[in-house]
Amino acid sequence: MELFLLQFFSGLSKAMFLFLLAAGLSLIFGVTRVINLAHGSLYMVGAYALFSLSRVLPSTPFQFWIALLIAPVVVAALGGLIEVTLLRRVYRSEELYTVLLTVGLIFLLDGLVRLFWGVQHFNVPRPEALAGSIHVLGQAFPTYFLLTLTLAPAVGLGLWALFYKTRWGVLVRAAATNREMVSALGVDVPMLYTSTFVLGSWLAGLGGALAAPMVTLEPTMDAAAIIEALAVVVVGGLGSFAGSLLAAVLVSEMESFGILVFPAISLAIIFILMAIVLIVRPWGLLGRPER
Amino acid sequence: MAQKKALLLGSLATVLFSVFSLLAGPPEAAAQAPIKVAYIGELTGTLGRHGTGVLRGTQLFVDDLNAKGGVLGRKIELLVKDDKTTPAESVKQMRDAVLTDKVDFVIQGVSSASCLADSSIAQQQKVLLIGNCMTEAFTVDKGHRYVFRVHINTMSQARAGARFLSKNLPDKTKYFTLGHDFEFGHRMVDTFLAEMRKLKPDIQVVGQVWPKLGESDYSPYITAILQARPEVLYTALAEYTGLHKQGKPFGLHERVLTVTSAWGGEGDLVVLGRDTPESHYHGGYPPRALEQSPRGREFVSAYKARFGEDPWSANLFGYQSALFLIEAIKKAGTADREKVIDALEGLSLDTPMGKVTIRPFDHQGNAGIWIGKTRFDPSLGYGVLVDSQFVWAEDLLLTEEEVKKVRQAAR
Repeated sequence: MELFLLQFFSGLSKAMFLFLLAAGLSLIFGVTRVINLAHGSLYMVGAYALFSLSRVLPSTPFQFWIALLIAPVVVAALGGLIEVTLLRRVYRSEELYTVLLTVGLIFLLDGLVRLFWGVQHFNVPRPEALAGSIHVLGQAFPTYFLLTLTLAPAVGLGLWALFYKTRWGVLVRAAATNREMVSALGVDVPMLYTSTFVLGSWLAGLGGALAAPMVTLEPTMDAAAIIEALAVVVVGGLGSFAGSLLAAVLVSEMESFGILVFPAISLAIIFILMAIVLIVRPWGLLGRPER
Repeated sequence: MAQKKALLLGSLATVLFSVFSLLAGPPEAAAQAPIKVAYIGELTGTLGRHGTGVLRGTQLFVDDLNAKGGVLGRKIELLVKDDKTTPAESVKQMRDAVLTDKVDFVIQGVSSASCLADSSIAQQQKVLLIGNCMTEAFTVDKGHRYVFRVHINTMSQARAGARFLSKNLPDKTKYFTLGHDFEFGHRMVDTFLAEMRKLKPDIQVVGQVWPKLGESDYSPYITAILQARPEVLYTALAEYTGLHKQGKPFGLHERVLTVTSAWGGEGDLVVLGRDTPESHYHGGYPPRALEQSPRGREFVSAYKARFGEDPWSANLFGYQSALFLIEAIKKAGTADREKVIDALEGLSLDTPMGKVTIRPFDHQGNAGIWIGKTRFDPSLGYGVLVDSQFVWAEDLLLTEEEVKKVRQAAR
């Protein structure tokens, strides 16, 4: 029984990373209608940024926390740069062009990461305070999970507040529905788009920075991230935060328990789920059908 | 991904440029044209670290040889090609090397899929291919006159693991296996269990999991393993950092004895740094163990002098491949490929990994492997293998009869 609980929590921890990634992807799509395929690359840059910061910053007990604060901001700035210099120019073109542009960005960021950090693998040590384990019901449980299990829902709550309790949120939602109308009312729509892309990039960067102490840093880590994030967004519904959260938990738990029950096909579970959702409810579990 | 090609061409060009500028050197009045050898391996992509490692070993050997005047009075010209860890790209590079560069000899990286794909080109074009991949199929199921492997394969590594465990830990009976879901992982795990059952019929397999290659989150696998309460966890992965790092706070290493007999050695532990588990069993070619023999000492010190760090297994493989190729050319007294192949068959050399003979019937080297216990070394900042035991090559491979049988079944 305790071990089932452990299995549940290890799945939940994975869900938190997927949620951060998928939420950013979904946010950017919801407002700008761009499917940002380079989202996994931004996640990777977040992880590498944390790695470099943890080497550069003075070695104090706060080192990791400062790095965790700065790394997503670096990625957000990069996202802003990408939006202003590149994406902004193709919003009005066909969807195919925006997709091609973000595919190009995958190569570009991939090349930059190789240029900057090389192909070797890196390992980021966990912060002293979170390196160990706590004992729950006689089972060792990684302390680091406490961070992911609290931070990600907190971010989710923050996002909800931002969208439903602030003027910026109202404007963003309005622009997502009718860009021309909002613009006609004197709102600076390009600025709204940029800030949305920056926020989405920040989420990807945060996901990467949080994952860095758990995983091996290598220049192909973007691929798995974007594929899983896309699957989660498809299952949850493009543009829906709650959908992303639900799908992230669903996908991760199915995978986690799939390993126990059908280890041979556990890899396929996420795609089987995606296929079923696409057939039965193409707009996703909590998404809205396009008119 | 196919689309990555465009970007990678740029980096490939840079790599080639720097490699060539290193190798070119001042023009000399060479009496004879150099012997061309192509290296086709994973310089980028998932196995970039491994393929680059093999290349370094080959480069070390070839450059030393050229500095000493080459072989048969001819220098070796090493053409370096990146296959980006994809078989399709590898085939393209192989064709290019054979048809455009007119290369007679090819040394290949570690990807089993690429080795098998290029093997058929080697057969068609009658080019000598020395592979550094591990799948037994390369020399056994699909072996032919033109392919060689001068060190270990999945059969010898997996059997070495089973021998080691049944001898050193005879009281452990509950096993769990964890292999990456690709050719190497499956071959290793299946062979290991088959051998283990032969040596210790009372073992019990309490579970098996197959994470995908490149998996980043092992937590659900780790909790599933703990749930099954095994005594031994046998692993065959392309990289071990994620598993051990994430396993540590779960208490994985206190509750289960983790073992691998795969070849990575300390190269797998360097990345782990402080997160190296204590008393985990790991296969490979630890420099401190190699240094016990004069040939090993020579290799380790030459590598350190050139690259400023300890060599790991991949470096040794590349070195070993070049060593056998050159010695075969020397023995044949010509660079004629058919004669070099005849010379390689049965060639027996004193190498850094001990005495290795190329078996004439399957072109496989009968090398052994070290298995040691990990221990964190604060002066190096990463884990090293201590109390390493060498598992001898004898009977690790299939016999001539068995090879024939497998080949017949494969047809």
